Amino acid sequence: MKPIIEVQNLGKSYVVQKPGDRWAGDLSDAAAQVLRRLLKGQIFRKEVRERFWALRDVSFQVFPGEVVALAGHNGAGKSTLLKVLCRITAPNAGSALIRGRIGSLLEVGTGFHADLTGRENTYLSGTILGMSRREVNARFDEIVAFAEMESFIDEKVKRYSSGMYMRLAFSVAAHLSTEVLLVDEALAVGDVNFQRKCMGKMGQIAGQGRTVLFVSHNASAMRNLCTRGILLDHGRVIQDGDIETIVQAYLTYGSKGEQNADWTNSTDSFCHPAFQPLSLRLSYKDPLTETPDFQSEMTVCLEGAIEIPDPDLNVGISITTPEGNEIFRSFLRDTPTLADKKFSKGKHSFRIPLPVRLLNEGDYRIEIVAHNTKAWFLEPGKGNPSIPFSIQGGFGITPYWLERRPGVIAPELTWSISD
Amino acid sequence: MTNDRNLVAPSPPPEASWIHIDGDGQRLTEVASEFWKARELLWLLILRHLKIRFAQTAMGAMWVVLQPLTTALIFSVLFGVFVKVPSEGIPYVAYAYPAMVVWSLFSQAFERGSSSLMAEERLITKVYFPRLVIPFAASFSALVDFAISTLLLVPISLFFGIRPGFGVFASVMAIPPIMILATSFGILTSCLSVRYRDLRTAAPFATQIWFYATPVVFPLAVVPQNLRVWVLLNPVSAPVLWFRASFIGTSFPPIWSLASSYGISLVIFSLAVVIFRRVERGMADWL
Repeated sequence: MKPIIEVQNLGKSYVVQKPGDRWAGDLSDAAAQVLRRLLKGQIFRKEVRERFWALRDVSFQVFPGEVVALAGHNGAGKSTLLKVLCRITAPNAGSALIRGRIGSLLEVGTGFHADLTGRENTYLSGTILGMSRREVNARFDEIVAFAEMESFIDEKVKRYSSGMYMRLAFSVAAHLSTEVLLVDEALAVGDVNFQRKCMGKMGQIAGQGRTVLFVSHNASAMRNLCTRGILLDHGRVIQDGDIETIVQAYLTYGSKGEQNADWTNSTDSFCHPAFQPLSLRLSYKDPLTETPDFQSEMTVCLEGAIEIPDPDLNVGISITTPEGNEIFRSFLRDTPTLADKKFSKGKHSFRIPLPVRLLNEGDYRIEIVAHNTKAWFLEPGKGNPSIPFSIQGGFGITPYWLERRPGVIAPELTWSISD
Repeated sequence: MTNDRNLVAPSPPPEASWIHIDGDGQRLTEVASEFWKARELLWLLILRHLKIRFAQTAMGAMWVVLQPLTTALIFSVLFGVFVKVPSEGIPYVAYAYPAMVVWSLFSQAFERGSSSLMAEERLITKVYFPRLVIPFAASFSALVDFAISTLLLVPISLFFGIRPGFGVFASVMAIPPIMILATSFGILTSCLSVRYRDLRTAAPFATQIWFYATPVVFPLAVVPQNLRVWVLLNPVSAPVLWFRASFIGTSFPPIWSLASSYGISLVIFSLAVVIFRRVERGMADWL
């Protein structure tokens, strides 16, 4: 079987405009530049222009029926690749061959006009996206039914609610019948219900044996829809493989370093006879290759030294947002068996497993706190030893959540039904 | 079940529909065949122009007629009453209106075409289709205005006691060069103004100058003999004179001038398409 998409050494660069470039600015600037060069006798000198490569040496093949995720952080070149493949912009180097017709869904409502009716917009948008009039005719009822728009289809689009507008616009796009579909995740907009419906439809399209290239930031969506992934960074293909490998690589890529920021008391600071923190570290399964998701088992490891034992010493941790808003605290004396524990002089290690399925996707800090019954030794929010950590992806055990849940925390509660 | 049909995997597409993407532009034959395939889109875009134009207007199509008619009236006061420009023995309004109708076709088609690509920025940066369709649709939407104001030409002529004869059908000859010329200039201005926005300001200004270089509000007879050739070489002049002559029986321009108008407009059209094709590739980056 021949690949349906063959991309060879594709490159796309943009000229970095500087004042004084020949073609920078408006027409009079350009004329003034030409005149200046003419006077200096430099008109024929080749201009050295700085180029920024948004895509460089990108090569890959996609076979019919594959659903491929294009992953990468912002600026990695995903959108540029889609734009080149659907011919919105031309490449500067390399080539691509697509053995079939190509449809692109880069936004919802391409070609929609507020002053036209739903019916008129359906035909217009469908035709702009590449359907023939006959194809729109044949699918019209399906499109309207999917959008649940039967009674409003002859109403002007500007009288629609934004939800209705997007339902219709997505429905038109989702009924394209090209062999290859290029989809930007930005397509799935609107409220959560509508996004789920969009993603469901995308899954259905993917299941029909059509070839789909899917650009996404969303690990769950990629896992649910795609079988294979291509990871891009700085315009180049970094990795190409099965979807699980790529999603893992995507989630860890560029976020190491920060993740393993352990804290050790190398300068002998925070010195207090009752308790001096020595180190703080977060351990979880295979920290080198994995960013914790919301069900990762993480353990806070804390070391401290006691010079003069204080019977009322209490050590704790505080989890905050990066801005310093406290989410919760936990103390040594919370644990019943340790409630009356007496510490001896010397070094002590504490291990605190964090609850799983509690923290939402996002960035956090762990901070060491300590006090006795009279005073704080390490008062929360006062520049205590702390380390950052992030939780990425895994929004739930069921596939219901495709995006970060609203709210600070995302505890998994168990529902039951008693009829 | 409606979905059963969708579950059948699509058959392998014919080689003709394969898409080659590289740094080189399309060949002219490809441009032409793509354009032909997009004719339904062209039609829908023209319809969209019309629907949007008359949406929520109380007078609707009346506006179309009002514009050339008012201009003709103003010029008849100026030139017919004050300056007394000779109008070959025909009341000045009846003399100026048909020329104004053709001129409006030209200037409208040109102006709409020239702002079209900028106006469709969202489309161009989000989806691919032959971009040439955009200026074409914009320019051709002016034909509807033209048809409406031509219909009014009959009662106006009759009102002034002029009976259009079979010569009316000859007027059709004047339309192609006007449309080709206006569309070409629309294509040129729109694709170059994507890069140099100056042209958006320059275009209406150029149309204004052009208006006075064309025998619309004055007869060719007032132009000194030795300059007439130059006025007739203006590719808009002959169609304007031709159209007026076939409706109200004024004198036809020499046939060579209409022929040269066809020739010049075709040359400019080829030039416009070639330049458009070159600019098209990087258009989305500039918008």
